[in-house]
Amino acid sequence: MNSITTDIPVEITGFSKNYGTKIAVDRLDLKVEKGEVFGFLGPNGAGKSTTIRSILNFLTPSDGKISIFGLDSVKSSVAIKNHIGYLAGDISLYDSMSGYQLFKYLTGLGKSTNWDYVNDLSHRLQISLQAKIGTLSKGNKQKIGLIQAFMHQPKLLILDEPTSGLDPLMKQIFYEMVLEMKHLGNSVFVSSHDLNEVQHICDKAAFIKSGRLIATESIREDFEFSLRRYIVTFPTSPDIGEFEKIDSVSEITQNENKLTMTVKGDISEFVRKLSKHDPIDLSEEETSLEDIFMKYYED
Amino acid sequence: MLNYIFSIHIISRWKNILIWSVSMFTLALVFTGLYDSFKGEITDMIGNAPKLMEAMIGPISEDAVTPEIWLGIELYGLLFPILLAVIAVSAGASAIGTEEESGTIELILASPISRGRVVLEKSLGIMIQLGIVSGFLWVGIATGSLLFPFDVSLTNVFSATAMGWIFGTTVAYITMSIQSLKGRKGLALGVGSGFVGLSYVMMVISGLLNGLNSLKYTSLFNYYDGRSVLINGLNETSFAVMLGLSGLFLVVSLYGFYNRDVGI
Repeated sequence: MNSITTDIPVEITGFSKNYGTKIAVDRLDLKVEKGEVFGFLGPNGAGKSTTIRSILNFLTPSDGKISIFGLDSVKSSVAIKNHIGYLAGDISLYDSMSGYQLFKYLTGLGKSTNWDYVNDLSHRLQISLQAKIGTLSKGNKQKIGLIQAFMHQPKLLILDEPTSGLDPLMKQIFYEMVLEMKHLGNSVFVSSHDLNEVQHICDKAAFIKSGRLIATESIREDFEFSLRRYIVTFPTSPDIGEFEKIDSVSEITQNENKLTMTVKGDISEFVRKLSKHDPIDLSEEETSLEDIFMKYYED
Repeated sequence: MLNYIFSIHIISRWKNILIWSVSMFTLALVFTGLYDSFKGEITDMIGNAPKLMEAMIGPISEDAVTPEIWLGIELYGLLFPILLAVIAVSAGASAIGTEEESGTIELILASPISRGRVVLEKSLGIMIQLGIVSGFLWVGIATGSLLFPFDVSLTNVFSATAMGWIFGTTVAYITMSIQSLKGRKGLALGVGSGFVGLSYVMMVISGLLNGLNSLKYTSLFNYYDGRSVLINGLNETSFAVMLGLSGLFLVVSLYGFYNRDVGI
């Protein structure tokens, strides 16, 4: 009952979670393979954190089943945590403790801490374990949070927005830490808003919106989520039909001599066509993550 | 010491515990010191005590005022249980409630320990917290008995203190059970405080109206009755009732925390 029965780190079948009449997650099916880095993407309120909290049995599924290495997430909630490292989104720590005291406390609660690894991580992340957590910056607290998740080198890491507050250099070190885990055959389930991050470290990504799984995508080396929205100003009013003929261009709107359009994927044909019209200005509109993956999967 | 939830509960509240402990110790010293000067006035007061006063602080003996009677009227009648109830309601609501509010409960629950252990260790932490604060009252009285002319039975004082401790523990566990069931610290504070208030009102009403005398059995203050314990020694039955109630509400806390969502 309490020992690992399969190699599959996470298997979610028909999982739903309701809060009263509100459906937070609706019949989610998802599988994370051994040694896989799995990205979990979606806008705020999509159901990412609800799913993660249900995996850890903070929340009980309203329907369906979540298995961790073959163990039921509810019935074997204590046993599964021997194999899980968890970093909460917007993590809360004990301000009066130092990092070292926190890790000692969590070790007392049953984590099999590898202290050499803790020291190595603190060195690489450039964080003092002696300072009181309450005195640390947000980024440094995030580092403490990362170390407590990694410190027992768990078979499954569940990370909710892990690079929040980290500078680019520290993000790079985090990516290395994730890859090290992967090379050890451990799995990582990472929730993120950052598509670049997902493309950089994940083998596979699932997109969730309004509690429903939109798609699960293998992240190939040449795969790139690219969706840009451009605003182009021409000297005179352009012929909108010419741009409508380009496969990668959609959602064209015209305002006198200004065109706004969405370009998905390769932009070379769009640029070629654009150059023929001698545009006088070109700017890119910010595109949300939600826009990007909804456009990819709207058909 | 950093390996246990209950020890973190104590360490994280050390300032609070220290302030209350020093306050209890000081109160004890003050009242033991004042006894010799005021015992005459108390004797006069007892002779003229109105029924309402008796209902509020319990039956007043017309025997000559002894240190035990003095402590019963001034300290153990109302002040000590009310102070302990204040500490207990706060401790019961915040034991798990504060961890939930701050989000640190996720650190604990992500570790390979059961929710049952979390509740049990938090409960142990509360018992120790109340034990330390109560203990300082006894230490203060023992110290006062050495410094001042205050010849008191320290065994009976210990028993009355123990009754206060189990009374506080019961109040704390009732409060914690509400927080564990509903996950709302504010609600638990309200219900815990309301319970103490209602319990006190029941004791007063039962003392004022002969026909409603049996209402006293619904009041936790009736079982506490530190004044009688100071004179007659520990009332095992009352202690057992409060111990049983503590156990009952501990089970409710276990059930509540085990069966609800955390960190919504």
